[in-house]
Amino acid sequence: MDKFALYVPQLLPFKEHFLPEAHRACMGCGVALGVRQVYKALEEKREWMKGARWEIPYKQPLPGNLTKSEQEGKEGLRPALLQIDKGNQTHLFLCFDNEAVEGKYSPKVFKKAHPAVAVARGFHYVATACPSYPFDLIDKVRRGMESEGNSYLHILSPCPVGWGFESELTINIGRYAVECALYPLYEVVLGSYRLTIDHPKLRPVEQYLSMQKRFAHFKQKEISALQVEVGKIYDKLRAGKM
Amino acid sequence: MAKKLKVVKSTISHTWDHTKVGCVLLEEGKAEPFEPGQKPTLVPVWDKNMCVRCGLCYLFCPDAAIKRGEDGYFEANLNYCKGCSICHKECWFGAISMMEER
Repeated sequence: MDKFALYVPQLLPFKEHFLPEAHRACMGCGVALGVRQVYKALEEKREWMKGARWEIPYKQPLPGNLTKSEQEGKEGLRPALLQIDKGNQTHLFLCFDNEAVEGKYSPKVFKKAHPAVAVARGFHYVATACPSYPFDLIDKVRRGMESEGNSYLHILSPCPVGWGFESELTINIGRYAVECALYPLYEVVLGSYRLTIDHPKLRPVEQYLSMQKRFAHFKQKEISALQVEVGKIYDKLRAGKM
Repeated sequence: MAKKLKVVKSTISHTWDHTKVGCVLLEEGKAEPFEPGQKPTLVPVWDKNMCVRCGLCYLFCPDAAIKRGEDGYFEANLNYCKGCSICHKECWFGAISMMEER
């Protein structure tokens, strides 16, 4: 965050590599926003692939194509890991997570297994990010590119259609998810955890859940149980453990 | 007895039956040369007296529709804007209002 101590969007490169002509995202899409911000970070760092429309290799897994263990995140990194075993190159993997695969929206949704798997597999740099905090995200992408080993970024991307909220609230929802610690922003450098954005006073989980239609079936019991669990995990993260 | 349908001749010269089978585009290339579909119902309009040219709207636009003009103020390209009104929500100074397009 050193270079971006000031909150000045105009310091970012104005050239767009993420071209709006071709993308068919819905209005207010979090994935499109995340991809665009990643491109801003990668501007000078790489030679752009010519030919591909998004100018970067990507894979879009559909829920039907995944096995159950992949959906739960235990083996969701399989394509990434296969790619690693092929050669001596290092990679930066970006996972845009709109939480659509889980099916039923249970408290399981909030347990992100992918970063933990990546840490266990010996990735040098692992981090979580959210497009609501653009400078944090850009900084993490740059660090991931600079790290010597493989690196992995998990990016939460709110989905207005799937989650059930107005398209103008996309940025707000991302902020709420971080502020109520359901999606803490942290980075793992060589196995040691560190919170990058730490709110001293957390927002109650209920505020975040009540903004979305997908959690309409949650009962008060489940919400209070979730609140307790979130507090425990966040205290662990603050102490630098996981 | 099935009702007989009236056949109406369309006055538009270019209709669906002028396209190739399956609406396949036979030209090589990508979607870049084509104009995107419909224009949005709501359109962002900047109030230049309130705008401080901070660029927040530009940063948070998912469709990369907002660009900086020569005078430093920001403008939306209405071909790409989808009218999500994120810029209206995120503007600190309330300089952007969503208007219905004429």
